[in-house]
Amino acid sequence: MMFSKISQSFKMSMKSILGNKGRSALTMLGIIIGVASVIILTGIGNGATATITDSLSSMGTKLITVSMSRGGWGGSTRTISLESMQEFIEDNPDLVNVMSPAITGMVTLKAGNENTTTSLSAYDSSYADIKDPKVQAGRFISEYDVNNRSYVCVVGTYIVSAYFGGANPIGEYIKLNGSKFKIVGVFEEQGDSTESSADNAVTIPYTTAMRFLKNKNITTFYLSATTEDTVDTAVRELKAYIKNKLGTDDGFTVASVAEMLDTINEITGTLTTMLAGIAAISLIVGGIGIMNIMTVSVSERTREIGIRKAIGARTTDIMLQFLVESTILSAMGGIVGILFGIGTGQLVGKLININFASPPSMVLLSFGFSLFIGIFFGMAPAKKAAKLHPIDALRSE
Amino acid sequence: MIRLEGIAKVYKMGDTEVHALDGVSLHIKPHEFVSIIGPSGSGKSTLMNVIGCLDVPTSGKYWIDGVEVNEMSDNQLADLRNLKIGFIFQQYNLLTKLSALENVELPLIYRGIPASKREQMAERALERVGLGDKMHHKPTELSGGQQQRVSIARALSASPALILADEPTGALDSKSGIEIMQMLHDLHDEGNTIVIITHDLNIAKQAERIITIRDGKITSDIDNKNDMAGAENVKGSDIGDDEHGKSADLDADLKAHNNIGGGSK
Repeated sequence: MMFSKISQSFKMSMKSILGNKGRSALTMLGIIIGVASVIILTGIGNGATATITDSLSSMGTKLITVSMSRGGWGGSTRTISLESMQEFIEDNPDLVNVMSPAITGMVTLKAGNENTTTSLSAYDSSYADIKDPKVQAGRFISEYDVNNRSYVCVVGTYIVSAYFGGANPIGEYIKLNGSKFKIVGVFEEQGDSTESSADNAVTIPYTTAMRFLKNKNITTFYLSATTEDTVDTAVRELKAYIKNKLGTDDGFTVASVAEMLDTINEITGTLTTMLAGIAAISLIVGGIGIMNIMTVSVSERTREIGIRKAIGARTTDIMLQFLVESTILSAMGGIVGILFGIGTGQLVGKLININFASPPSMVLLSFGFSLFIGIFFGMAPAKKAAKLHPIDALRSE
Repeated sequence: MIRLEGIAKVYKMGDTEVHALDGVSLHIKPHEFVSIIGPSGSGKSTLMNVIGCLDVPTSGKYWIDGVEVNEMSDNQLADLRNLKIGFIFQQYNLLTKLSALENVELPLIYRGIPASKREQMAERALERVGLGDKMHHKPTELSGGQQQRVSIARALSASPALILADEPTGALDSKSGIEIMQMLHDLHDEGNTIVIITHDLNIAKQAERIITIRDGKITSDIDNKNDMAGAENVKGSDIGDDEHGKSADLDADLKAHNNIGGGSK
């Protein structure tokens, strides 16, 4: 019985909605815009977060970075010896298992008669255990290279294309700050192989770099935690260890990718929620539009309500009819809004190079919210209709 | 069947009280064909609204089929209208967006009758009023007489205890009016109880019993079936409808008819 009444209300509502196509479309527009903006904003927010976290995760979620800097105002750069760091690893095999010092700088590269500036990184061979160095041809720096302070290097694709015309450069030589290095490997392309990209780079053994750059102190160390679960403990222990060694707790940082990920997720999460909240306000405005139209619809159909009441419609029947109508309006708006939102989101995502990812839960939530708005804002006009007195309603023109 | 005792309806218009009904007592038996006649402002529309359970009297008691109506809630009244009363209005009052069949089905929907059975009942009712071939037409595609027949089918479909017709021929040409009246006679012959509200003496005279109402009071109640001279006792002056002023009065009456209750708020 209830079902038959609802299906009848549904039929009547569809007739009324389709009978006023233009008006119904305008009414739905508010909901469409609201739902679509919620979906677009959360989808792009999530996509942007995913892009950032992906690139961070690719650095390795077990990665811990120790950096030395100046302590206090005008203080000298703190230093910690390589031996101290190695000692920590030996003492804490359950927390961290790999370490590589890192030295970075800019050097002048000369191959043939061409001169350019390139960025230099110097690591231990164990760096390959911390992070995949992505060597496409040849090999990465070996333990032998490190122990013997060999003048070998791995080069980026820019150097290959700029100095060797794209031919295989392995076994060839380049000059860095005047010293001759043998190319033993080529990295995979990181950017677009131009001079300003990450492909204009060389990597050499850190032992070679220390001698060649006359650099006695290493300011950066990369460590890898044994498992992802020990990252936090390792960071804490490292901080305590270095503080103990230095006798101060400023002038150095110990950071993990996991920690950075947490921070970024927190910030982007808050931003996304805030944007979605603003978008949700337009949903409420859409709801008010529905209430407005339903009120008009009730006054236009006063006579119909009177007729229905005269032939036996109960208060609840009339109320149900108008509630069903406002709910259909908002549900249709919700569906169109979802489709429109996903379509626009994907288009925008492509334009700004972000993988648009609207979570299904958000799609469901915004649809549910639009349904709720239809019911909530349809309530007052439906009540007004239901309360009409049959003779007053019949008498109206 | 229907019993009214001391029914009064008082409307407040500003500071003055208007007694639309002033102590009406009436008893209508099953299978009766009754006409209620009166001039505009006589209270006949208010009486029809009270009988039809569309309006609640200020005082007095009302029973329909032995059930007392006075203390009923809005929903109970809705159910009562649905089960006991079939309305035929002067302006047909069909829903223009629905087909004839859907209009006739409407009271059955509110009664909760399943779709297949409902459709069957509605089809039968439409066939009975001779519209078997126009079931899927919208009211706007039908003539006035046909629309009124749809509304008769709607009133019939739910087999009500009472068919209440408010100026059923008022908006029709004379030929259609005669057809509609014939249909009501047929329904009466089939055993239905019929009450017609009219200001037209010629319509009123077709009933078995003629009740005249004036200033909210019943002024005469004539048995037109057994006393063949009965109708002659209803004077034109009783209903403000003498031969000379007939057409003028008719216009005014028709116009006033729609406004009788209108000024009552």
